[in-house]
Amino acid sequence: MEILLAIILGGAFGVVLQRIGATNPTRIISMLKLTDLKLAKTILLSIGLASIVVFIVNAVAPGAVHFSVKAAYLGVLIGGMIFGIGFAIGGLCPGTSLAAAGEGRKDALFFVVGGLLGAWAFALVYEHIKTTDIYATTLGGKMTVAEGVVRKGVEYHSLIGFMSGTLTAILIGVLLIAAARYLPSSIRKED
Amino acid sequence: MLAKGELNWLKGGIALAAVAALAIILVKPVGVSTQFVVTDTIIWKTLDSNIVNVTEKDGKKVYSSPNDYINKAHGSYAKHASNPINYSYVFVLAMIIGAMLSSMFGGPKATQEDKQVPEAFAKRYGFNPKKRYLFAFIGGFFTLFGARLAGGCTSGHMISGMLQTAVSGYVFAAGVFMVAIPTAILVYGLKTKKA
Repeated sequence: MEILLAIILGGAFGVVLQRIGATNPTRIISMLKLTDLKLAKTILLSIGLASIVVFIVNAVAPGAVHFSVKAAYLGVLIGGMIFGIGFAIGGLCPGTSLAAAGEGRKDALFFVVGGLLGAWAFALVYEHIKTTDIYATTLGGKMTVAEGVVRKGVEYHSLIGFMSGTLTAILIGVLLIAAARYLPSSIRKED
Repeated sequence: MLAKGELNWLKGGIALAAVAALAIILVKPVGVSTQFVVTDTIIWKTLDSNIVNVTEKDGKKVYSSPNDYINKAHGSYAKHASNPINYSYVFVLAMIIGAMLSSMFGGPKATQEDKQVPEAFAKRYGFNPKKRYLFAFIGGFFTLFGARLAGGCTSGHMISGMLQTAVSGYVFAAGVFMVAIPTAILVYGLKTKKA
């Protein structure tokens, strides 16, 4: 059953990434150059909307949503910055590179091979950094902004405790959707 | 400007939201970059059979690895590399096929040139496939190295993380765009090569 869901959901994810233009490096590069923000609008809308739906389902059927929150630590910020270099130079990210290779983009194959080597390089480096501040400095750890996010019966710590998590998540969701709606289609002019 | 077959931000955003929400409601949040490590482990253990060890304890298989990273989280990468037909791996394989089918049936179609050198690259550096492949390779290396250090990528941290209001999702997104925007402007903006 899970494998069937993997095929359906994974397949749908691939179709959507391709249809929104996320597998096209030009779209990603133009977004990062701030000359074409269509993809940013799409992603902001999707996160905001999905968040609202998921938290409403969570309120109606507590425990039904399979939440899984990742830890925040210094490495998330540094890793994000290193990711940002590659994201900008390559014009693809892990998911979109594989999907782009699927649609027949040759350059995406080189990205994927580079990615396999980059992940392997990290596996070799890990033992030397696992006890350093990169992991020791928590930036909140496994924490959410909205309360009521529960995994296997245990609720994550949350930043906002004075109102219901559903309401917090809906407010954030509305903000993200508003950002998607009002973000201009470009901030910089094409050079 | 929208390519033929490409969804606008409204329709596309709704479609992406549907997939992301359904995934976390039905199974687990979407994520991709972990499967690069699983693939590495699959390749690595065919070259060096000692990289994944299987022992039995109380009738259950226990996976471990001499590499600290592969051994992480009770050897979960080692375990998944030994059993690639699991939800997360099949999800990623299906994603590749989904994108392929989409480009064949109604999705935006890239030209042969664009499949080697995307327009944004050609605009700055001309139609130079070798150079583009090198940039893509370097980009992939940094992206996955960074994603593994951060413990997730655009799918896991940004889409899945932020939709759960996870602090880690916002931290990751801040780190990415803080660096990616100036880098993209430096590398692909500023000067345009005349075709």
